[in-house]
Amino acid sequence: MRVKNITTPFFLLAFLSISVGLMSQVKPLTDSDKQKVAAFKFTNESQTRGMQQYNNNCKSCHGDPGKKNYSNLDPIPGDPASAEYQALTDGEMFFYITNGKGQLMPMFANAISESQRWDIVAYIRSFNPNYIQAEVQLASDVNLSGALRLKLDVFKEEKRVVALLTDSTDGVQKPIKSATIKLSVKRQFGNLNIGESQTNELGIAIFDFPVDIPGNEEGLLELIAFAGNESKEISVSQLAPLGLTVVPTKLLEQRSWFNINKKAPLWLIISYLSALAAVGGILLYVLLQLKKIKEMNKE
Amino acid sequence: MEHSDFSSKIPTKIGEKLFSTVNLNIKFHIWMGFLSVLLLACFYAYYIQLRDGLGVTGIRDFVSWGIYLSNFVFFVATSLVGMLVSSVVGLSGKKWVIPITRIAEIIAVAFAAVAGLVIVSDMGRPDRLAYVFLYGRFASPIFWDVTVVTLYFGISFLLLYVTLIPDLALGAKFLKWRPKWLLWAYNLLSLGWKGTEREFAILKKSIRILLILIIPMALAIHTVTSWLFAFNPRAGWDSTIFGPYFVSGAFVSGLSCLMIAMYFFRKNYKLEEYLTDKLFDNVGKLLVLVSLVYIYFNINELIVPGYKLKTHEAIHLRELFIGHHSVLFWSVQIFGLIIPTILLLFKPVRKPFPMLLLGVMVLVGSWFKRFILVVPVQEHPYLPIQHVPEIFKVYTPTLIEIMVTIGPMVMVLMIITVLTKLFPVIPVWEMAEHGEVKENE
Repeated sequence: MRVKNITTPFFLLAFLSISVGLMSQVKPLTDSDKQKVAAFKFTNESQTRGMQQYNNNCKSCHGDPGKKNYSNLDPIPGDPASAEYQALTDGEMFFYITNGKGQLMPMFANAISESQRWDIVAYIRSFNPNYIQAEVQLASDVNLSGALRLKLDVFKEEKRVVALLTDSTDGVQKPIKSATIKLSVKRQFGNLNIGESQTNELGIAIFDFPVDIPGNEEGLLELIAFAGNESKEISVSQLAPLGLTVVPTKLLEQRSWFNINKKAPLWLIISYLSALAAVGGILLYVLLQLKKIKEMNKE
Repeated sequence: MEHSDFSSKIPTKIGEKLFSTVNLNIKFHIWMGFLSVLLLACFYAYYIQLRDGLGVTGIRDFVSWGIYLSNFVFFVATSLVGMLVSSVVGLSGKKWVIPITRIAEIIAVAFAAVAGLVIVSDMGRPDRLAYVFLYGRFASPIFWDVTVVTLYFGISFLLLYVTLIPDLALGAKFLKWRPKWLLWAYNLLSLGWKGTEREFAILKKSIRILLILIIPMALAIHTVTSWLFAFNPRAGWDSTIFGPYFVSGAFVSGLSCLMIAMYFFRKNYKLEEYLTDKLFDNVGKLLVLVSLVYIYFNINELIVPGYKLKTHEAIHLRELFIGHHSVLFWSVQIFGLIIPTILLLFKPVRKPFPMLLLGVMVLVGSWFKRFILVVPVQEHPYLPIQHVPEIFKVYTPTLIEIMVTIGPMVMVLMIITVLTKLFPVIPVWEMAEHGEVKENE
C-alpha cells in the first residue's frame, strides 16, 4: 500500500505533462495563417535584429542556421537553413514561432513581440538565396483621422474577438482598412498583450483569444483594444466572458501560522492552552496541598 | 511559642550553625546600600532612555537587538541552574547536592524574576507591555516566551518556598534574638508546620511534583528563547540545533554562577563544614560534563555551515573567525570554555579558590558568548539598505545602554542577598535528615 501512495504523485505528474503536451497542439494551422505576410520589408537591419532574437531564443535547439549543429533531440529540431524549412511560407514560419510546434517547441507569443518574430523570419530567409519576399501589407500606411469608432464583438464559444474600426466624419460610417489594432487584457499590474491584427476592407480585425487566461469569479475579464499612430488614436475597453473562472482563495481566510488569533491553527491553540492548563493545574494542585497542611495544623 | 517536636529532632549544632547566617548585620546594610546607589544610577540611565527614546542606545536599524537581548538570553540561561541541580541531579538520588539546592533555586528565582525586566528595557514603549497579554498571538514565539518565563519563575518560586516550609517552622527555635517582624513572617509562612509524618508525605509529594514539572519548563524557556532566533532565516540563527545548543550553554553559565555563589557563601557565611571541598569537586566535574556537551554543540554549530559555506553563512563566519568579532569570539571560546574545561579535569584545580577564578572566567565568557550569538548576525541583513550610515553597520553600546544592562544584574544581586540573608542558604531540615552525608566526608 505504501508503494502505491508514493507512486500516486508520479502518475499525476505524468498525466499533467501529457495534458500540457496535448494543449500545446490545440491551435491548428489555418490557410489564413499560411498566407500571412510581414508588415514590413525585410532589410539588413531587420535580419540583424532577427539574428539577435534567434541567438537568444532559438539557437539552443536549432543551432546555427546552415551548420546543421542543432541539438540531438527527439523529434529533431532541424536546421532552419535546410530546404525543408525554406519550403515553408513566411506565414507558416511565423505561426510556428508564435504558437510552437509539436511536443517540444514552445510558443513565443508571450516572450517576443510580433515584429521581433517577423525579424527572425527575415533572418532565417537570409540563408535562402532564392527567396523573394511577398508583397508587403503596409499596416502603418493608414493615417487615422476623423470621428473614429472602435467596436468589439465577443464570441464566447469560438473564443474570438472581432474588432470593427470605422470613421463617421460625414455622418456615414465608413470602414477603415489596413489599420493595426492591438488587443490586450487588463491585469493587476498592467496590460497583458494578446495580439495584433489588421483590419480588412470591411474595417474588421479578428483575434483568436487564448483559452487559458484567468478571469474573475464569473470568468469575466477586461479587454482593451487600441488603434492609432502619432496623429490619432482610439481605445476601448469592455468586460468579456473569455476568461477562466477563478475563485481566489485568500490566504488570510484560512487558518495559518501568520493569521490573527481567531484564525490560528487549531492544533496550535489546543497545544498552547492544554499545556498552559496542565502546568496551571499542577501548580494549583501544589497550592491546594499547602492549604491542606495549613488547615491540618489549625485543628 | 513552644517548640514543637519537629524542632527538637533537628540537631542543635546544625540548626544553630545554619541559622546563624540569617542575620541582617551591618555588612548587609552597607552592601545593600551600595547596590541601591548603583541601582539608582542605572534607573537614572533608564529614565533618560524613557525620556529620549531608544536612540540613546547603540541599537539601530541593522542591529536592533543589542546587549539588552544578549543580557536577556544570559539571564534566562543562568536561571536554568535551579533545574539542573535540584531536579536532574537531585532526582537521580545524589544526596551530595542537598547543600547547594537552595542556592541554586535562589539563583534561578533571581535571574528568572529579572529576565522579564531585561526584555522591558529593550522596549521603546514599555507602557504597551500589557498588549502582549491582551493581544498576544498563539503563533508568536515571543508570546510563548513570555508565557514560559512567567511560569518558570512561578514554579521556581513555589519550589523555593515549599522546600523552605520546614525551615520556617524552625525559626522560632533558632532565631530567638532576631527582629520580631522576621519571626512573625517565619511563623506566618510556615503554615503552622509541625513536622508530622502526614505533613512530610504531602510536602515531599509536592516537592517531587514540582521537581519533575520544572524539567520540561526549564527546557521550554530556553528552547523557546532559542527559537526567537532560530525561527529566523538569517545566517547564524538559521539552525535546527539552537534549542539543545542554548540549553547546554545555559547549564554552563548557570553552574559557573553557582560556583561563584558557593565560594562566596563558604567564605563569608563560614560554611566550610557544609560547602565542602568534596562538594566543589563534584560541581567541578558536573561543569566539565556540561561544558563538553556545550563544546560539542559549538563544534556542530560552526563546522556544519563552515563546511558548506553558503554565501551569507560565509560572510558571518568570516566575521567571527578572522573579522571584526574574531578577538571576542576566540577569547570566549578559549578562555570562557576550553581552558576552564581542560583545567577542571585535574583534581587539584577542583578546589574552592581555583574554581572561583574559573567560575568568573566561564561566567564572563558566557555573557559575551550571548553577545556573539545575538549581535554579529544582524550586521549582515538579507535586505541591505542603501547609503547606510556607518553607525548602522557597527554596533557599539552606549554608556546609558551599559548602565541599563548593569541594572538587572544589580537587581539579581539584591534579590540573592536579601533571600540568603532572610533564610538559611542551606536546607536545614534536609541536612538533618541526611546527616550521614556529612559524616561520609
